[in-house]
Amino acid sequence: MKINMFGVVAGVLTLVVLAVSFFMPWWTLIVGENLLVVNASPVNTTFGALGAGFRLPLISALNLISALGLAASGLILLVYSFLPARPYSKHLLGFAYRKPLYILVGFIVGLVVSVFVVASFGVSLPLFGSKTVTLSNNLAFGATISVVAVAGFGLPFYLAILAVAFCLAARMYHSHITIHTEEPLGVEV
Amino acid sequence: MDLVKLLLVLLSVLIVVVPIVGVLYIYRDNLSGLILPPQINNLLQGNQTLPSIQPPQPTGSPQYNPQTGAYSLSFTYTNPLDTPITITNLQGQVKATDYNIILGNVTLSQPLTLQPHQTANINTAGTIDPNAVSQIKAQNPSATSVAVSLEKVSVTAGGVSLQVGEISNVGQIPLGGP
Repeated sequence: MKINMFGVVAGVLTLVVLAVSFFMPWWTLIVGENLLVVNASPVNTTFGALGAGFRLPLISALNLISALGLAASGLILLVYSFLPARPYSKHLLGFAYRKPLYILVGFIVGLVVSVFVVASFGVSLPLFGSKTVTLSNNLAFGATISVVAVAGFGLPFYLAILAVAFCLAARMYHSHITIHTEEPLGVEV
Repeated sequence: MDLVKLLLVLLSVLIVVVPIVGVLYIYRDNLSGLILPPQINNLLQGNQTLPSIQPPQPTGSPQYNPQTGAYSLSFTYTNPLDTPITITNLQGQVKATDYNIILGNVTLSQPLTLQPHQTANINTAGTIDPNAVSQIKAQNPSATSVAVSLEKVSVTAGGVSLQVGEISNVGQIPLGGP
């Protein structure tokens, strides 16, 4: 029985990424001494401001979409990986291997767009590393306020990249499997 | 095999549509609540205000030792937040107000952590330049004390740095004997 080992690894990694992402963010932003905290991942995004935590319902809905997508992708990849030569296998693979890639790309694009949108309001936040953000404050005492913002990507982000790589490898290996399982013309079995 | 493909397409559609429709249904009477959490909504409606970030205020009288030049000044500060903050920096230039002469600098003695809404005294210390004192005495030999203010005051609390232009009238320091 042919097994697509890349698919097995991709499926397992996808499910691991899903599980880990509920507890560890892909990207974290901390402004000041936890004055503003953003923990972002495609499946769980939370915000904290001045000690109070909150979520945005629309983003929570997008998180749910990503979670369901990763779960379906991981499970179907595992099913496909043990049945790569069936007639319907290409449909299973086609459904499953793209979703982690779409979610990863969508997360990165969303992050970059968010940072640019915030920058358009005059607040330049880092994508990674630290940066001093200076605000001109027109309060009565005319102070200038600056604060250090630190951002970085977490382990689940890099795991997701690895999962996507194995998903793409599984897709490429599928072609290898299907070529070598086709019976040559005129050969009696 | 078209059945498998059809089921997978249906699954894809359900994965995307159900959460969106669900959240739209939940917030059908308050669509702005989709992107504005209750805390920000309260701020916009005036039901809640942001904590006011104020600089520390001088308290008491400055202490000055003419023999050693040692100078200390206390401030009072209240943590306006619901989380602890650490004051890691508080410094400024001491200026003789009427003479426009910089006498020295004061800095925070050691970092101080304030619990939520705690008020505490913050002590700063520095040294007064004896040459600056001599300059004042040369301009006004009969002066026995001088009013001081703080310039270029900077405070770092909770990771936020405030640059305050000037805090005037922080007190008087004696000039000592001739």
